[in-house]
Amino acid sequence: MHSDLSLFRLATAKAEHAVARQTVTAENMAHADTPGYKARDLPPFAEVYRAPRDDSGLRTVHPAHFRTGLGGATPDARPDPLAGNASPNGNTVSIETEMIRASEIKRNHDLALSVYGSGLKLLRAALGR
Amino acid sequence: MSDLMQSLAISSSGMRAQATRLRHVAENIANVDTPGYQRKTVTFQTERAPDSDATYVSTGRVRLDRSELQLIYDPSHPLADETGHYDGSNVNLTVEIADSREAQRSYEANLKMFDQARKMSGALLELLKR
Repeated sequence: MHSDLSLFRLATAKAEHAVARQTVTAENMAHADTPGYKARDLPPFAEVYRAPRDDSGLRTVHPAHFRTGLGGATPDARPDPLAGNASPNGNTVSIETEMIRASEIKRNHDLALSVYGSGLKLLRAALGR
Repeated sequence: MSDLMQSLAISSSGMRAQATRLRHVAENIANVDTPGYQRKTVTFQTERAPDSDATYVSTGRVRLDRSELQLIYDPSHPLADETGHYDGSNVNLTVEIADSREAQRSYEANLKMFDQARKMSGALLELLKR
């Protein structure tokens, strides 16, 4: 915590994951009536998160470069494993499933931000302010 | 933060598409008694964003429903032929109402996602205030 502030990095990564997942879920919701659209989802954060080990990842010098490990580009969205049967037009989006997912995302995002906020408070206390 | 903005843009594209669909449904319902009116149908399609791999939704071409017009018997109607029939519209009110309900439901779902993305960016900014 004190040497490399890993707590903040962890919280940031979790918030970023929640936001990326929010984008994918919003996409699903927007395509709820598009024929042939397949619902997608991101893998859970626990699967995605890999703690950085010194400099094993690729170094990047340009924002468009691929990044590995923490803070890297979000992994590609995969087809939703929870998707139910397709409706007659081939669409697999279920609004109910998406709503549940959305509330889960909100909770995770709030959690990450609270952890970040508490970390800030801790640092402030340590500084005596 | 830009990801959240993208989420807002996707949700609003969904709302726009559903609103367009609702507009055409209203048009169909308004013309249910217009002789010779063919109902309009809206198609949805995915549209790739130019700068990222997100997909927006957009409405495609408006098509006419080519199903047969309803034959109505009314000898006193000015358009009636010698047998007393004229062509009505091919609008089925039950189908239109069901369609509008579905559009409303999807619109609200998109609105909900929009609101959530907004709240999430608000919470993010809240961190700065402390």
